[in-house]
Amino acid sequence: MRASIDRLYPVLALALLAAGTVWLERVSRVEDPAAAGAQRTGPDFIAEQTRILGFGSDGRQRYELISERLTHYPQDDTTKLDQPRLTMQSEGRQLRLTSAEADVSPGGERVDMSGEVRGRREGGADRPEITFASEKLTVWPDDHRAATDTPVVLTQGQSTATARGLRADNLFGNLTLIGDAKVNMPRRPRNPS
Amino acid sequence: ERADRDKPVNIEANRVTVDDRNKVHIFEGAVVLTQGTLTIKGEKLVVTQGADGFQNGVATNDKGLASFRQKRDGSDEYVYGEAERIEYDSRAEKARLFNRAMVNSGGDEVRGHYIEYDSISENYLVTNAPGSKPTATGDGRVRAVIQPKNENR
Repeated sequence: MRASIDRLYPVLALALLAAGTVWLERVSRVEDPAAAGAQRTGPDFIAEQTRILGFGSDGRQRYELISERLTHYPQDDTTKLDQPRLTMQSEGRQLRLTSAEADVSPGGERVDMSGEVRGRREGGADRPEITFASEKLTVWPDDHRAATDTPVVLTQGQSTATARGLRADNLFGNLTLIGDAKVNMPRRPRNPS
Repeated sequence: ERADRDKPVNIEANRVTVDDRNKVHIFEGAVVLTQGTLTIKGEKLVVTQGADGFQNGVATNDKGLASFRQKRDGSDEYVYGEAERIEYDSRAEKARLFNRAMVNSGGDEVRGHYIEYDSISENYLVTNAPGSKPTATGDGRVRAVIQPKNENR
């Protein structure tokens, strides 16, 4: 019986020591305000009727972002937009995207739009206008890329297309419809032959 | 069928790549194109869109043969064709079948290296494209089987 206590003695001593340090640390800890802030979930600022212009390094305007309300959250430095309207230029053609709301990542290199996302890319002289509709769309403004995994409806001039997802490059210049893609191209009646 | 040409074109596939700059649609994976009674099937279809909508399509099938099927005008017979590559030109309304081509129309069957099927006149031209290497099946000659037409038809 005694032997087991002898063997237990170091374990008991260590446990006591550990308990002591934990107690000491808790007592001496100073309540630092920043840590308290971490629990905060609210925003640190809100802006209403905002219009943001983004410029490229070459000084040219890259995008214009209008939104009803802009809410910034310090915890993860993300920004939530209500009724955003993003307008971007690429190769002289304008792309406009709107949705119910959007979450902008820190630094704004990724924008997750959700809720009736609608897009319209201006047509050129020889190229019809492209429109886009889906429930969600992720946009990477800097590299003009967009993608979604929610069902999309796309129109290009007279043609309409649907699919389960989409990847788009240079602002919907080239797009890939992924999954059950269906395209309908009406034939405009040719000159009455 | 003549009425096909003014019908909308529907195309289904697993994946579509749209290249806006040079107006090309690339369809990949179980591709089915339908326009009225015309049906074209393949694994890949490249469609170049002209100003008036559907222009022409090139269907290929790396897993086998691309095929096309169209009802003949005023009869319920179908023309069926298959080949490694099928080019359909909607303006000229011609289907050009390349390599291991075969067209079967109402029992008449024609095989050859290259077949051109004109859906307006509904006749087809079978040739061995010059410089084509003899096909594996034979010495590259054209094969045609014309069914006897019985009088009561």
